[in-house]
Parts: sequence; structure tokens; C-alpha cells
Amino acid sequence: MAEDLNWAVGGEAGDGIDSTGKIFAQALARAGRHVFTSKDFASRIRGGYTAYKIRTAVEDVQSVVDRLDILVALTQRTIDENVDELHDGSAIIYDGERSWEADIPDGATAVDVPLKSLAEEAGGAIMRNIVALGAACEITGFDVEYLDEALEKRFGGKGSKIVQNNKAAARAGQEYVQANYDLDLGYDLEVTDEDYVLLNGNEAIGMGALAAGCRFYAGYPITPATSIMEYLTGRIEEYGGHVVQAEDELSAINMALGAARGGARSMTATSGAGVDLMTETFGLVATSETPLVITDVQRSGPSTGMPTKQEQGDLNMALYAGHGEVPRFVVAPTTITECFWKTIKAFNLAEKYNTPVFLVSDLAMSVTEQTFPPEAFDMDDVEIDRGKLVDDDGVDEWLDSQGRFRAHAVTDDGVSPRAKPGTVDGAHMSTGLEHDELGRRTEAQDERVRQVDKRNRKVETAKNTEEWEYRDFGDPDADNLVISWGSNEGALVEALEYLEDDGIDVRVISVPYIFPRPDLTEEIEAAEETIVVECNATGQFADVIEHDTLTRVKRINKYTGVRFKADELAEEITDQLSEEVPA
Amino acid sequence: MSAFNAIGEEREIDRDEYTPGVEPQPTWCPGCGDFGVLKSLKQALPEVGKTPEEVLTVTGIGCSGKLNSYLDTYGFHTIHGRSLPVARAAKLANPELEVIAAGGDGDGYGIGCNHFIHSARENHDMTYIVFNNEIFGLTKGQTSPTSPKGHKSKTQPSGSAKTPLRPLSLSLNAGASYVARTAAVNPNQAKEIIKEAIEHDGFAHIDFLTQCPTWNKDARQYVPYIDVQDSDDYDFDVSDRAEAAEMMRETEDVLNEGTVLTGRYYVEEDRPSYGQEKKAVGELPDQPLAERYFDDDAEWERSYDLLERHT
Ligand SMILES: Cc1ncc(C[n+]2csc(CCOP(=O)(O)OP(=O)(O)O)c2C)c(N)n1
Ligand code: SF4
Ligand SMILES: [Mg+2]
Repeated sequence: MAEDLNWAVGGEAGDGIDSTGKIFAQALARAGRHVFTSKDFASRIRGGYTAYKIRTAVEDVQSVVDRLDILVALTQRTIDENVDELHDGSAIIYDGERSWEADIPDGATAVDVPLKSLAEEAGGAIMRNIVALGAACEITGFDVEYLDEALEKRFGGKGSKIVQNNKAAARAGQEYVQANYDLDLGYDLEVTDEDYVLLNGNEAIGMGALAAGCRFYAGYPITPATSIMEYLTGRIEEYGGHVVQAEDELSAINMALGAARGGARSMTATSGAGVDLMTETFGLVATSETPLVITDVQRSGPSTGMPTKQEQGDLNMALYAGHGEVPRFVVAPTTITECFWKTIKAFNLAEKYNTPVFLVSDLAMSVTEQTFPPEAFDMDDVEIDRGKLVDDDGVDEWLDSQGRFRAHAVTDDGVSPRAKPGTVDGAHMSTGLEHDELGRRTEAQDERVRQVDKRNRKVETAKNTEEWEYRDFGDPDADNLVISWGSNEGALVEALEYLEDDGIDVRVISVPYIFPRPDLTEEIEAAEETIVVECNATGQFADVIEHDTLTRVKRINKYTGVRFKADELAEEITDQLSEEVPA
Repeated sequence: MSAFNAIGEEREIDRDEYTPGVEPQPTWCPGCGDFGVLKSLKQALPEVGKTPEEVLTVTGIGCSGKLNSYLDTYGFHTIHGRSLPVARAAKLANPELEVIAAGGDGDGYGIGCNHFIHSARENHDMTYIVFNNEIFGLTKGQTSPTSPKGHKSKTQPSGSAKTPLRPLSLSLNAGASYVARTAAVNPNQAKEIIKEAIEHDGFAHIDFLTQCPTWNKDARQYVPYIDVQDSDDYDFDVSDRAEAAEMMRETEDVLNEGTVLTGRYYVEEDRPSYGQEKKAVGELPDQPLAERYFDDDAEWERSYDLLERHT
């Protein structure tokens, strides 16, 4: 198991919890330590508990666990919310001068630091969280100079005075603890020479989009998708692109579609409720054979559900939403690095097959910040394939005997050419109505069948020529097989270590492709028991696997609104393995 | 070299170029006003020097939505109510294109009305033609947002209880910078208005009265019509918002009493379009988004520096 430290800062929404946590995470990343963060928050701007949690180790960390070592508590509720995770070696940093009487659980060490007073001395009460970070450095044996670097990055734009004050505040906290406490909790954060980048899943999607040449984005704000739009805004322009905040999701997807028809690589992103509205346009994207990437960062539903909580409840929607039969691809990245790579793949699939691609992520991944070696995002490995996009020279090949462009040409691979408006000799119609090769609407039975077959043939071609591989962990010959999709991968990979310690052999298959998807029949047959893990109540992926393989599987479902934790998963898997296979 | 060679091509353009070899004969009912829109558009486009390949027409669903099936341009027939977001984004992706959106009164003032308001508000540089026949034509005569109060239909057998929507006033208040009304029975005025709308830099809205003899027999053929610019009875300044608003209200009020007023109602020349405004603040590059890909120097701009902010 990784020698890890679990740290958190918590308080009221509006207390600057997020930026405080991020500064500490950055300091740790700068010190060559791995970081995996998570957030507890309520969807209120002010008033409401919120916390930023960091798990850090020298080795790679990919999950949260049920243990808290250092807690910076700005409110009593922060302590109460986390009481189960505290233990005898935990330290709680709080401000005893504040009006609340801290009720410290038995065993935990109380570290009372006058955060506000020290901050005021350093230049302003606003820096009280930074004082707390200094105190945390002292308790964990972490050099405060790493914090300096993070503070420079965070406040550098606001002038050197602000940076200096913050550095002073951090030192005040550190020195206060040094002078007033003689603690030996055994924490001593090791540092390394590694240089890591720190980013969350939505940033990775945004970065992937830019690297893939996405030059148009339209969206309508919705948690937790908004940060993709915010990432691209101000950045995409540097690469010659543009972001639009549309009047609603109906408009957002149609704008993304319009820009794609205009010739730009284009995408929209939203979350569940927004996908409902966008669904109207899926069929048009597919029948007009327009490349488009549609991202769903899932949150808890149905309806407004729990807007700031984790869930993987949209799998069926991604697979089936839209009336009629809509050919599509569904890709669900399983890690933050994969958010980057699968976004690029999504753009290539869209343009190679002129069809909608659903990129399905989730809230947990979108807010988690994690460290990676920069090579994990090697831009030289980015490949761009624009498929059968033709220019003035390429058009000729696709004209009929009367010189008309066959935008929906029936081909062996099912893929037709694309000509952007403005291309000489490429003028054509395209429509959501059934049409012939030229885009003329038709209800002739033979034409209908030819076009439906052609569109479905694209999917077959992709199935046979693209790679749809799954990710394999643990012992490939184990009797026990655990299958998962989306962001549960990290927690499962870590759960393997717990299981191994208990002598339980498990193979984990993490599936990033929902449609087309790998056929797991052989893998399931080879295993004695199969469990499908997902964050929803009904087991949508388990249903799909049972349908594919005609085999009953066991299920682990979580729909509390909180992502899986590694230790919790290990326990659940152990329990399930001892139970009867469902009939 | 531009990747869009059709754009800016200088040559004689023949009206017939706009008549597709594919489907030259429209399937609208005899006497339908939609023919008038097609005819005036075919006349206007060559006169403003546009070749079929530099024009994108985006339509909604309805009898009106068939327009681009009979017009040889780049055509995109969308879904009910959504022509505007598609059209305005295509324009952003390639501002050199001439983008025209079109659809019915149900399409634009009903199901797609939110997009109409916001496209006007944002002053996207495009032309929007609403075929206003005061009825749902394609679905066989149901009440539309512009059907007059008291108008009977299969869905409103006792007559519509609702006051019709005011397309011109709505357009002005939403922020359109060019607002006009014309009628199918007046193709010459229609052609001139379409030309002005195309040449206007900003959102140009044409409420085009198109009679539906099949389902809206109550509505006259929109004759006789009066051109408010030609008539001595009306005197207002199209650049004056208040005067325009008053003229629009009167026009909307008298339509259902049998007086058909048409013409230009509001023209705001100096208001920047969405694209101009975004370019001014550096949020929209000068080079068309869609063109970057064909720029050899772009080398896909692999964005090596993207990672820097995450260190
Ligand atoms: C989402 C959706 N709802 C309903 C319809 C059915 N429908 C097609 S056209 C139309 C209204 C047509 O009226 P209008 O927009 O005025 O066009 P017109 O036929 O009069 O030109 C309706 C309700 C549809 N195609 N899509
Ligand atoms: S139903 Fe009316 S609007 Fe439709 S084609 Fe016939 S006359 Fe024209
Ligand atoms: Mg109508």
C-alpha cells in the first residue's frame, strides 16, 4: 500500500476552501509527490459544508480512502462530517479564538492556531487559510518553501506584495506550531525530484479538444460540465477558435452542429439535464452525417437530482437516446489521462465516420485533481484524422455523371465524403429527412434501405478496423473477474492491493468503450465469478454485459452521490464473492 | 490560398445557376406564397454577386423548410425550430459564407422563438426569412403563433382566443438591426428587401407574408398591399427606434383588418455584429475558424504549451 497522507480543509462554501486545497495540492506536486484530490460540496454559494481532500504519496495514488490524517477545520461541522475518518494519529488544525468551541473527537490531536490573528498580522484576515497551510506543513514535516512556489503561481498575477504577505502568513502558521506544540505524530513527507502536472478530468477533456484541433465549442452552463467551457474560454482563441455561450442546450448542440457543417472541428458538453434537451438533435447529426463530439459529464439524476453529486446513471441515455435508430459511438474515459486521449479519439472517430460521438465522463473525474508525469500527455503522440473531408481537388471523385456532389454516396465502408460550404463544385443538400446519395429527400423503399444500411455499415467498419480494447489489471488468470466502466478504475486498481493482502485474486477489466464495446464473453466464461461495478442503482452496464454474453453477473452499485473508495470496494468485492450467483 | 475557393469568386452569375438539376419543380400547392420567396431569392442572389457555392441556406421544418431543396446552394434542412443556431454558427465558422436561414411562422415564432430572440439580440450577421402564412401549413392548418384572434382551425374550433404574436415589434425589441416585411405577391419589393438584408452587416429579419391558399383561406392573398416607403400616408424614419416601433405596431394591428403594410421598418447601420464585437475583444480570430486547418503553418498547433499551466 502506498505510504500515503490524507489531508483535508473544510468549512463553509465561500470560505475559499477550493483554492486553499488546490494551493496545497500544487505544493505537493511541486515537491514531486503524487496527489489525488476529491471534493465534498453542497450546491450553494454560501452556507453549506464544503471540503477539499488530498491523498498524497510518493507512489501513484488513484483513489480516496476512508481515513483522514490532517484536517484543517474552519467550522465545527467540518469536524462532525469527518468524525468517522479521524483516528488516533489525526491532527485537527482550528482557530480557538473563533466563536465556536471546537469539539475534538477522542484520540485526535487538537492543534489550536490563532489563524485569523496571525493572518491579520501578516497583512489581512483573508489569509487565514494560508496560515493553516503553514501549520499543516509543520505538522507533516513538509518544507514550507514548496508552498511558496504554489503561492507564487496562485498570486503572482496580483503583485509581489500579495505574494510576500501570503508567504509570511504561511510562515506565521508554521512557526506558531513549532513554538507552541511538541508534536510527534510520525508524519514526515518525503519529497522527490519528479516534476508532475496537476489537472482534473474536465481540464484534460478541454486540453484534449484543443490538441485534437477543436476550434468551436458551444455550451450552456451546467454543473459539472461548465469547467470544460471555462477551460476553453480564453485559451481556444490562441489557437484560432471560438467559444459560444448559447441561450440553451437546444441551441448549444445546434450551434456546434452548424460550426461542424461550416468545416470546424466542433464540440458541445453538458450534463444529464442538458443531454435531455440536446437529444432532439442527435438524429439530425447522424442522418446529415455530420461529425460532432457531444460530452456528458454525468451527475446524479433524474431531474435536477443531486447536481453536485457523483453518478453514472446516463449510460442508457448515451446508448439509446433519440427516436429512431441513431448510429453513434459512445466512449467513456476511465482516468484523467484517458479523458485527454479519448477526447482526441472521439474527434477522430467523428470525422472518420461522419457521425455523433458521445464522450461520457462523470462528476467525480471532473473535480478530481491528480498528478501525472508530463509524458502522459505527449503532444507528439496526438494524431489527427479528418476522414473523407474533400477540398476543391478532391470533390471531382465524388461527382455523379451530371456533376452533382454525392454527399451521401453509398460506399463499401459506408463512409461518404464531406465538402464544406465554399468548396467549388461541392454544393449539395443535406437533411434530417431520409434522402438519397445527393441529399434529396426520398421515401423510396430501396433508397431508404440503402441509406440505413450505409450508415450502419460505418459502425461495422469502425468495429472491424478501430481498436476497442479494454484495460486489464490484476491477475489475468484469476477466477474472480471485476468489470467496470468510467471513473471507477482507479479505486478498483487500488482495491486490488487490499484484496491481494487478503489472498484474494482478482482480475479487473476497465472498459472505456461503451459502443462499440469489446466482447467479454471469453473473459467471463474463463472466470468463475463476475462482478460489475458502477455508480448507479440499476446496473445499466451490468445489463449490457448480460445481454452481450448471455451470462448472469453480480453487481456492485453505489448511488449515494459519492464515488467508490478503494478500501470500501475491496470489502464489497470480498462480500459479493462469498454470495450465491444470481439465478 | 483560401481553402474555400468558391468564396469571393468574381464572375457573371446566372439566375438559372440557382435552379437545381436535382429537383427543379417545387411541390408546393398551386398559388402558394412560398413560390414568391424562392423567386425573389433567385433574383436577389446573383444581383448581390453571390455564386451558389458561397451561399449556405439553412431551413427549418414546414412547407417553408423545403426552400433549399429548390435552390441550388449549400443547403441544410434542419429540424423544427432550429435553423437559427445552426446557421449562425456556420457563419462563425466561416464568416465569408453568405448565410441565410429560413422557416415558417410556427418554426421561427413558436418552437424556435427563443433562438429568434437571441439571434436578434446578439446581432449575428445573417439573413433570416420567416415565411409567415399565419398557419401551420405542413401539418394541415393548425393555429400558429401569428394566426389572428378568432381564427378557427381544427385545433381551435371556437376560434383562437389568443392575440397573435407581433413579429416586427418582437424583432425590434429583441435587437435585430434590420427589420422588414414583404409579401409574396410583391416579388420586386421582396427582391430589393432580400438584397438589402443580405448586404446588411448584422441580423436582418424579413417577415415574409406568404399566403397559404390550402389551409388559410381566411387570410387574403395579402392584396392590396401598401409599401410604407412609397405611400404618402406614412412618414417615419427607419433609423429611429421609436418611430419604427410605432409603425410596426400599426402594421401589426391593421393586418388582421385587411390592410397589408409592407416595407423597411428598422435599419440600424452602425451596430456591430456578434462577429465584429467578438473580433474587437480578441475572442474571435480574423481568420475563419474552418480555414485554420488548411494553413500549412498551423501544423495542427499541437499545443505543446498547453501543459504549462498545469505545472
Ligand atoms: C419537434 C417537432 N414537433 C412537431 C413537428 C410537426 N410539425 C412539422 S412542421 C410544423 C409546423 C409548420 O408550421 P410553420 O412553421 O408555420 O411552417 P409552414 O408549413 O406553415 O411553412 C409542425 C408542428 C415536427 N416536425 N417536429
Ligand atoms: S399547404 Fe399552404 S403553405 Fe404548404 S405548400 Fe400548400 S399552400 Fe403552401
Ligand atoms: Mg406557417
